[in-house]
Amino acid sequence: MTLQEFFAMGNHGFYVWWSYGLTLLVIVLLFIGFAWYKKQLLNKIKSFKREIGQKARSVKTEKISD
Amino acid sequence: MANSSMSSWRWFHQLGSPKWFYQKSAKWLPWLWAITTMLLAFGLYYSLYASPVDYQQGNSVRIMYIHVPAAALSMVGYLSMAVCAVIGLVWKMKMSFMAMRAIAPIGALFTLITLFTGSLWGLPTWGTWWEWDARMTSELVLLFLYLGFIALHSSFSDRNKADRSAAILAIVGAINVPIIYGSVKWWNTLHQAYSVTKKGAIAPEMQTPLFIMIGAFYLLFAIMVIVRLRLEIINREAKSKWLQAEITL
Amino acid sequence: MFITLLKRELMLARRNWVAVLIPLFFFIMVVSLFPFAVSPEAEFLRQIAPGVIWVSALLATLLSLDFFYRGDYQDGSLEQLLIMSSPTQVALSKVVAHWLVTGLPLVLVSPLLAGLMHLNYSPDGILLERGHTPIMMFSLLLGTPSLCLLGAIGMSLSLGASRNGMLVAVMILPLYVPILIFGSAVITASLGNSGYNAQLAILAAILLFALTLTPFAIGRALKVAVS
Repeated sequence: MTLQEFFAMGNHGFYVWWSYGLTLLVIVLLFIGFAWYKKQLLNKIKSFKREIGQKARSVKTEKISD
Repeated sequence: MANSSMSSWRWFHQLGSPKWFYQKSAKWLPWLWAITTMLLAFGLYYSLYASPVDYQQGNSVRIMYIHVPAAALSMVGYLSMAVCAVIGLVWKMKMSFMAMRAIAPIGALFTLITLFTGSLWGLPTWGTWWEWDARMTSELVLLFLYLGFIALHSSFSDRNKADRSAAILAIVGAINVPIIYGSVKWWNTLHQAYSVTKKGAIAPEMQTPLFIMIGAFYLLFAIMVIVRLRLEIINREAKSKWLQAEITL
Repeated sequence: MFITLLKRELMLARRNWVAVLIPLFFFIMVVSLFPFAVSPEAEFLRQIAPGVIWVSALLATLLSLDFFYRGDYQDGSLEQLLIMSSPTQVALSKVVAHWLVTGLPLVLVSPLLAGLMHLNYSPDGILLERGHTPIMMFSLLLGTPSLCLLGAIGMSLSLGASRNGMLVAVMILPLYVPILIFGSAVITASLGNSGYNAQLAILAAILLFALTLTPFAIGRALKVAVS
């Protein structure tokens, strides 16, 4: 069996390769989506932490000014 | 006596703790990936190369090796969503609701894979990419059920309400799935004017790649759910100290 | 208690009798659109009649749900009702009232639609002595309560949600598939002069199944909505 025969799949290559390829594609897209969502969540936590930090600092400065 | 029963239920309580799960699952994931990659490599070798060609369907029978596992998982996914819903409603376990939320998009994805691989199989076999075949139609309705669940869950501003409402829908849907399948099957036999090639019994040489691929897909599904569940934990526990310590920004 | 709740629902409906008639108008109008869209040819209309009548009945039921749940939820009386009696009773009273006010009139008005769709003529255009109208009405009589019960689940789940209307349809339409299949199959079988008892029996079974299980789901959903 040559490589060409393997890819041709006896005239059914189109269907077989498309179904395997599309399956791979959607699975990869799902994980890209997860990565993107994770980035968003981490950004949210980062800004949330910064907010808390600022609050703590402003409380400290208030105490000093008193 | 009381002691032993307590220890046998410990895993259940541990699973209910987001912190425990988040820390443990980080250790599980590399192993799961390793086993899945190995199984997939074997499975793809068998299903694309080392398995016989069907005398009727030709090489397009190879599509079955991803279509059947995906179809199995699309249904298992909905069922596990409903199980999570029951556990969440009865024991008020928040991890269970998180898992339910994590499964939904992944189950929908497997349903989608089932539908388009089915279409690509139907094109050379039936001569058309869509046939109102009982199984294909049921899968389509299943996809609608998943979409309804996701639509409902994302329409609430109150997360607690979203969880409990969507859980009720998941349970109602799971009870309905066999009824829908049965009625679609009956309806299909009524309208069978065209000739459909039945997806018949499987030859033993084809069982090997099929079983390996089913195993691989189950593991892949587990990995996806765990990854998504970890994100859900980050989302919901964003303000807790342990999580902020866990994540190095 | 159940009778009191039911009386309350029916009284509210009587006060708003126009709102209650709208689904009925909708039902008739949707069916009468089809001759314009496809063809007024009698033979053709007869073929599509079972599906058209059933899909229209299904949409009319779905769109009329809002009246029985939304108002009570928004003015807070739903919360009062749920304190006064069990959620299952509140759910059942609402479903029964909904069916009495929209489902039953739908069944009663359906002979008119059977006329519009030429359901009572034989394929060669002769008026039948025993038409298909009674069996169509019977299928609607057995099917519409199930439509009300399942629709009520979706409606009460969507009460607390930020978007609605379409949301109820997206959740509930897949669950309507079995009722639609067997409901229209009854009429199709009758048109083809074949037996329809099995289909009717399954419709009745679906109704009994829905009647025993859905009130709990609706009650639970109502409780979540007001929590």
